[in-house]
Amino acid sequence: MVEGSSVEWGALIMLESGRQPLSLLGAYESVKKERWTRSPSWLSAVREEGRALFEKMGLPTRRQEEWKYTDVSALGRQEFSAPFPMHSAGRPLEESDLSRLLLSEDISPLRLVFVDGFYSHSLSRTGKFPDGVETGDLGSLLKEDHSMVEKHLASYAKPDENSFVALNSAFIEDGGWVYIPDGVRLTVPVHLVYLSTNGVGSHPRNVVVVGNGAAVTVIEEYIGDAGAVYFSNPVTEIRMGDGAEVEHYKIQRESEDAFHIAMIEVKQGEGSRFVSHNLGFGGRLTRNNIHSYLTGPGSSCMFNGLFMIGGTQHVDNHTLIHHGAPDCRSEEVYHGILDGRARGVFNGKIYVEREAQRTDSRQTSRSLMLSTDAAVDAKPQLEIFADDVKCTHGATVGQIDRDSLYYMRSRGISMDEARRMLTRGFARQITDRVKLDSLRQGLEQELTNKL
Amino acid sequence: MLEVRNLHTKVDGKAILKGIDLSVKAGEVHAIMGPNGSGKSTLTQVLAGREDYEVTEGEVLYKGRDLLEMAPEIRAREGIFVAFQYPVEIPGVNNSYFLRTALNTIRRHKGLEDIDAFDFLEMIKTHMSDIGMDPGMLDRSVNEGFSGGEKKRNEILQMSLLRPDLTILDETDSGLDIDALKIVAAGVNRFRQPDKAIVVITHYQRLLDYIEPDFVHVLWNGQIVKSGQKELAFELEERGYDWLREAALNGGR
Repeated sequence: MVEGSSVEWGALIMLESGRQPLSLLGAYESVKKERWTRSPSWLSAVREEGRALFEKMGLPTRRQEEWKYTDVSALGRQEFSAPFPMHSAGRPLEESDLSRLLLSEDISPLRLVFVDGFYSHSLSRTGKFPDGVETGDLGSLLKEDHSMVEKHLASYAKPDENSFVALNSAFIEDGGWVYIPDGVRLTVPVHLVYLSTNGVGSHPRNVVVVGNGAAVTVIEEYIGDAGAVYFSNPVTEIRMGDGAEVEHYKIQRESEDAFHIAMIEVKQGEGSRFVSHNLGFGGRLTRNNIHSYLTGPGSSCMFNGLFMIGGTQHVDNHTLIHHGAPDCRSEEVYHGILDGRARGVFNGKIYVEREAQRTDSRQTSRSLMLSTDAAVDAKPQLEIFADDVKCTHGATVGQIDRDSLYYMRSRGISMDEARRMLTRGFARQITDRVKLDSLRQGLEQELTNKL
Repeated sequence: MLEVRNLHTKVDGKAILKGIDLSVKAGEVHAIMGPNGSGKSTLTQVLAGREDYEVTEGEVLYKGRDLLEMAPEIRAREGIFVAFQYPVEIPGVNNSYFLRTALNTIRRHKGLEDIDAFDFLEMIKTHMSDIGMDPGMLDRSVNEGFSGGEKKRNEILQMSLLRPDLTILDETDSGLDIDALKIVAAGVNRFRQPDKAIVVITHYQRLLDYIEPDFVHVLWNGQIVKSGQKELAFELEERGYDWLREAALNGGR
């Protein structure tokens, strides 16, 4: 556990911890002995279950349908040191280390920063909120007897269905905690930042609990230095009460040598609305799992996705929208831009239970190929057990539209500029849905820089 | 300004234009009329620089230079503008940004400074009000969700903004009601200047009531089979295109 607020963090670049790198689960026993002796028994049980499940399941292989297009075996060959709060080695991280890596510094005055999965007091900007709102680090709450944390933590994510969730569960130690009581609409967005350093494997666990009629915007931003090799394996659990509204942003701007595997598991109450923006640019190997369970009638969700990759980057977006109640709506639009020899995967599953009558679900995925060596596998997956439903899906893969290119050139615009404008235009169809101005501008800048 | 000499083209191996001759001087307005399939749109696309058209014979000179050697963007920068029959919709590309980028590219080519966003807005709003366009269309994606008439107005807006020397209007009247037609025609007529030339390509004579041509050419089966003054347009309107068939078969012009 992180001790107090005086913890200082190691140097960002090419961190040398002095500890031996260990296999993905190898650090479990030593960390347990060093840091978890006073953990509450329920938490120990969660970790123990995660460890046992991961030991049993191991890393998934491409023989498994869910991992058919994504080979994670490189993770097993790579060695990462266990995350630990640093007391030694290098200089403490400063504001400037953070600001040069963040998409924008102005996303929110409320910013919780986690370095290798551990909360950093010095880099975070917190505030007191009225009406019982809680935003903070899970790490310090796990040392207290916090009944809400105990109630919600590890209640929605499913370690038995996914190795990486199991692995994350084994190492639950810190992450973001956002608690919005019934009827409270928090106007300040909660900006959660995860900065990883070279050589470390970290497993942040975030829990967002939004009461009946409550509303919040949460931004998860994942960053790391160029060239740093690390593994970030976050799990986010979101519980939404009846009529709750959540705007969730996940911005993945990891090092291009990083492994990033994320799970977002959402459980929605009656009449609630969840909006997910999944925006990815970095990473060597990225897998996003975003699952929303519409468990209350009249609830809705919207999944927006954009990824832009090149080189040999691999991004796999696996989404699940589970219609478990009648009169729910879901809409999903994913755009991918692939250059170089990049590989993209879109697997969008829509599951409609028998009782989920009058479901209205739309799904679109589009991929723009900037290079003939890039490839994408797009797979809509509809499993419908109700008879009165409206479900549509479509997937397109293509290159820059020739007619548009010709039209723009006929107005004097050069071929290169027209291609850039059209590529940005393709991305903007997703970024235009971003409601936070500073974030949208940051994204547009990122796109301009990338092109 | 434009000299088309014995122009032959093929599309997918099929001969479409079979020897076009056309001479357009500064200050003139030419109308090219013809039935469907006569080669009107092919001629437009060849002049604009679309790559799918293979020129098998002949030449096109623009201001004395070989037009066919120029990429589409070079033609535009050198002062050619084509108002397309079917302007494309470009989702995600902001109309205002598109117009400003085009304008500044052409200005730079002429050795002028870029125009900034503020001055641009002033300028474009004047042009928009001239042709009865809602300024709200600036904030939309290029032509996306525009009605047929709105797309045509957006073409005319680009013409008045980019101030080309040679304007080619391809079926600009199609999809326009009479009020819109008058507004568009007025926009074009403001462009009738001694140093500028206009080529109006159309199936119907209707547009020519408002944009009076100096010369009318009839295109049929890939050839100009008859040329004359504006009265020829009226004759076509009355008698249709069929009577020209014989003229063409007899090789008469």
